Amino acid sequence: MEQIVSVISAFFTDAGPGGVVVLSVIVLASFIYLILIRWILQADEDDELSAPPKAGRDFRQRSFNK
Amino acid sequence: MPEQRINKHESSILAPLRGPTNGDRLLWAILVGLVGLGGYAYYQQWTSGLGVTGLNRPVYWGVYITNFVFFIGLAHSGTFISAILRLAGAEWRKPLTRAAEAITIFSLPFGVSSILIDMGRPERALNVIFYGRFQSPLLWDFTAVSLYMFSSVVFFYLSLLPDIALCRDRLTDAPAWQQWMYRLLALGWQGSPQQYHRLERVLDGMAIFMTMLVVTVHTVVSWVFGMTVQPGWHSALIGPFFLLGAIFSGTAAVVIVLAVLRRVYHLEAALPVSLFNSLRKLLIVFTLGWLYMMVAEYLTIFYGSLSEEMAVFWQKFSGDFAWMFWTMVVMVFVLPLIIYVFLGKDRIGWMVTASVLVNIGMWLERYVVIVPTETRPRLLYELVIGTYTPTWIEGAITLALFSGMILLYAAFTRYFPIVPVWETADVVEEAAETTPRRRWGIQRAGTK
Repeated sequence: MEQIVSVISAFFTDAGPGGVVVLSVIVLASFIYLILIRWILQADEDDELSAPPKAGRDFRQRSFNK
Repeated sequence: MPEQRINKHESSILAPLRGPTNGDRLLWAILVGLVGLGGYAYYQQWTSGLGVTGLNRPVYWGVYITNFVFFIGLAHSGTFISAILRLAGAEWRKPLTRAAEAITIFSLPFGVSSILIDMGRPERALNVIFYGRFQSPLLWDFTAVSLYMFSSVVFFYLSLLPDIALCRDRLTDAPAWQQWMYRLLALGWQGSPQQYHRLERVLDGMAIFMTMLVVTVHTVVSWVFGMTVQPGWHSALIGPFFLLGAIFSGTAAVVIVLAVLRRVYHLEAALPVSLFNSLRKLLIVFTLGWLYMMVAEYLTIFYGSLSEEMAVFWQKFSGDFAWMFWTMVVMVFVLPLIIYVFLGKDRIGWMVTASVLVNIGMWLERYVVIVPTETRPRLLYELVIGTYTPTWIEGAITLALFSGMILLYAAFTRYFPIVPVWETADVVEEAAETTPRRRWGIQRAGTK
């Protein structure tokens, strides 16, 4: 238990770990924003995938062509 | 983009995008010259050290840090107009969101630059990454400002995305490089109802995050001062005071920018006088709020009468900085309140006058918060009386920072629509009625 406390304490008092926080926040934000932008742009494809395929046409082929 | 999406304001909004005029080129040349002058001044500082500035012991922070706080404050305009008013369901904000967000985008880098310039050895900024201590407010500041800058760019870009695609589709006679830029930045945007629906959802979600971030950022900026025990800085009120001042000066800056854009680009239809009247009401509230903060802060100090606090207090009220302090009060509170209340309604010229006064006054306010405390520090305050006189180096660099910001802003307005076409388009409003818009209990105007 003492070791855990000392590790946590070191995080706040030692020089160095602060940079990890900065980089972690920025990297995490980048990841989330990238996912959101992809989600917005893929709206048409997702909509098409969720729609029932029209008769006489290959649904998967239509998606790949897009 | 389908023909039915043509907005009735579209042609007037896209008109400025037909390339820079000779007037633009002249303005840009002047601004580039001023930036160059600042670059020369910085070269002098780089080679000779901070000794060429007025900074000294114990006045370590001067004009540069004043610029930092001021630019960060300006940057709050975009988030306030775009995110907070978005959450509040204020539909009138739509035409001015991009102009406000652009202030955020183009002022933040100059705020960050001010820190680097003040450091003398800018490469030492990396020490925050390599040796940062979590208990240091400087680390909080670094984290918050970095995240704010990054998030603001994403927020701005997302709301710009449909209009970049519009430029891609409409401006087919633009130079090849410009068309290539639109194609690249549009990311294949098709403008389908599904995409608009998702975009709205993401922007609404980000608006909540950005609102929290804007409060955090300027509070953390103030804590760089407040977490010391210096007289005049060590106050719980400094966070809200900084935040209110930031939103105040930012909103005033939006008024100035809108008026210039309206006049230069003939956007009278897209930016009606009613917009200025709405901003006027906000500014009246902010002016009174600022007075409340001032009275609360200084009355508390006065009644406490701690000797080290009073040394700084009297420096501002009747000492070396009195002329600046009272000028600031007149420019931030007295004149703007009179103008906003009695003269500003339906009069853009008066609104701009008051807003210019507010911004000059707010810069002075930042200076008056920072420098007098350093001239009368807590330690040895009876023995050491600091002095500070900025040099031409600091003046030239400050001028360059403001010129750089105006240059980027002016160039941006010549290549991207400064009024969001898609948010002001009637057809999009109609499409939005078919999608669920009620979230977080906020009922939008025009929705059921």
